[in-house]
Amino acid sequence: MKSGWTGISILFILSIISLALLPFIGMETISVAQIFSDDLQREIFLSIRLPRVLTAFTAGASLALCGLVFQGVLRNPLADPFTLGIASGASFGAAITILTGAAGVAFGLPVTALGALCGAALSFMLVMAFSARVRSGSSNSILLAGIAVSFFFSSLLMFSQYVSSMRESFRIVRWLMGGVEVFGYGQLLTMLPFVVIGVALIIANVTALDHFLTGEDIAQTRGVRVRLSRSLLLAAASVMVGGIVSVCGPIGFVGLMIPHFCRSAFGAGHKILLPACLLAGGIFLTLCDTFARTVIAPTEIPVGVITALLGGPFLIWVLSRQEGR
Amino acid sequence: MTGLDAKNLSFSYNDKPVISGVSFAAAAGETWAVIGRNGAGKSTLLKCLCGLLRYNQGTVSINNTPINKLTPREIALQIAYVPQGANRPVPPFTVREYVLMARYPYSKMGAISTRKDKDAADEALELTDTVHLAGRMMNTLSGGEFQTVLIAGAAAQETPFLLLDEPTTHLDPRHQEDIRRMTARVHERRGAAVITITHDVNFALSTHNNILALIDGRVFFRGTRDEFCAGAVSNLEKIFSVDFRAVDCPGQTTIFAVNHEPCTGGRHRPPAAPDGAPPKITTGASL
Repeated sequence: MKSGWTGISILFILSIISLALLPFIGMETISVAQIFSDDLQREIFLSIRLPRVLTAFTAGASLALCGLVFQGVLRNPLADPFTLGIASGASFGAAITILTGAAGVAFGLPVTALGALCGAALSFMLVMAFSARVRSGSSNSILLAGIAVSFFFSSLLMFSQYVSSMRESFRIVRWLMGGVEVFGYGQLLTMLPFVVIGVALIIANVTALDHFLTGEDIAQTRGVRVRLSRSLLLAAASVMVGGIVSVCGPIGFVGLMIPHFCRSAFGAGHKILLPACLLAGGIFLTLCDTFARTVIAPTEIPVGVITALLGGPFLIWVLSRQEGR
Repeated sequence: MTGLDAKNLSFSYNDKPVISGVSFAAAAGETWAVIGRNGAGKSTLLKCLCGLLRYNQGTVSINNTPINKLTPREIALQIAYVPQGANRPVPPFTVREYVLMARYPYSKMGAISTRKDKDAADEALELTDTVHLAGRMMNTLSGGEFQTVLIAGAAAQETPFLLLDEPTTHLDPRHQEDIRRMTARVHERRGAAVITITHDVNFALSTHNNILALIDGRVFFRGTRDEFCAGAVSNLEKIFSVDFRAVDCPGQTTIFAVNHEPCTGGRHRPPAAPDGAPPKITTGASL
């Protein structure tokens, strides 16, 4: 336990360092002196780089936490916004708005984001409606339902791309790659309520996540409100995913990889995994995004491409070390 | 009455009745064995008693308070439940962490770390002879060790009622004996009422003062061990539809089921009589 909190402190310091340092790095490195002397550089730093780094950190932290919650509630290491079909529902929602040419802002959200949010909600409800009919303990069937829903929406997405024009099709593909290219703080502020509500609900129910691991029957007879906690946790994670995906698109792999990495480093207790996933997820996506916007600058690679490219081999390395023991 | 009281309890899965009209009461400090065939409704009854299943009809009350008026936490302060140990999720914690987590109903804001909680966990480990396992990860335990740790967790809950679902099934004789001793110890030292589902009739009759027997979801027998033992063999034959024999061993009577058909195949065939007559099986009764 003690070593765990040391690890959290290290992650915390790393987060501060990356948040403080990474906005200076980009196509052109900005120096501290320039922020005070050069108006243009200050503008770039304050309204482009800083919000972008903050958005990446928030998105990464949230996606990692959502993965942790889905995996904990369903007691299945494969659960994440993708395998549960939520990401593909969101993508389809976004594609529909692109295809119909709907534009503008509604309820303070860009219409594409709103479409994504509705798609995420729809697919989540489909999966949950199915899981409510399944006797508890059968997380495999929930995952299978998620995968079925995922394929269903992916096919609809492919169909919509097939019938769309080249230009729309490209916009859809680009959206699907995910990214945190934000300008100013508007999109960050859009995401923030989802994230704050989600994190608060998850913190309130974090003990239940530990108890779920003992099986739902033992958890309940030890006094945990299993059904209530499970619903609140799933709702919280879905709200967060909806908020993040609507702004950043489906950024894959963070929700699957970071919780696994944290578990191998910090053990299975969720009180420590919660801050660990938030910090590690934030650091990871911020680094990936910095990489994405600098490696072949001035061209930016969508960050969703980088997360899987870097995350895939890393996860396999972590897993092989774990299993090899 | 004070205690755990079920009145006219019925439960069905998808319109298929599992238990019907079961009435049963366990007063503080009593020991009950629940026996019956697979599918007779024993586990379902136990789950209804601890609030895991919502019964369709009847009432379950703890010290005169209906169980559906109590929160899971309030129930957890009264009843600890040990499910069947086979095919369970294995929590990725150490034995001590797992046992300490059982203190959840006593915790405030989910924080379990008071001196009292740690003492209760240590006492539960000591009571169940699992102190030597305390630092082990749960996934490194054998089936028998796992089952004893499940009971250690329930003991740490310090409840007046302990419900056990087939605690000795799948275990070797050594671990069966360990389980027998530790449940007896929890009963004696804590004064806890113990309700055990078991298929081991000798375990049922040797360590429990009262017997509840179910046939097809209905009460067949409910009473003291002595009442049951007055016609133990015929009672058991009615419950299980198998012949039973009682054998007097020094110090105790042992009951076992006998096959209708003698074993004619396999390597343990008894030697055939010289005149070709069917092999004679020595049954318990003739010993």
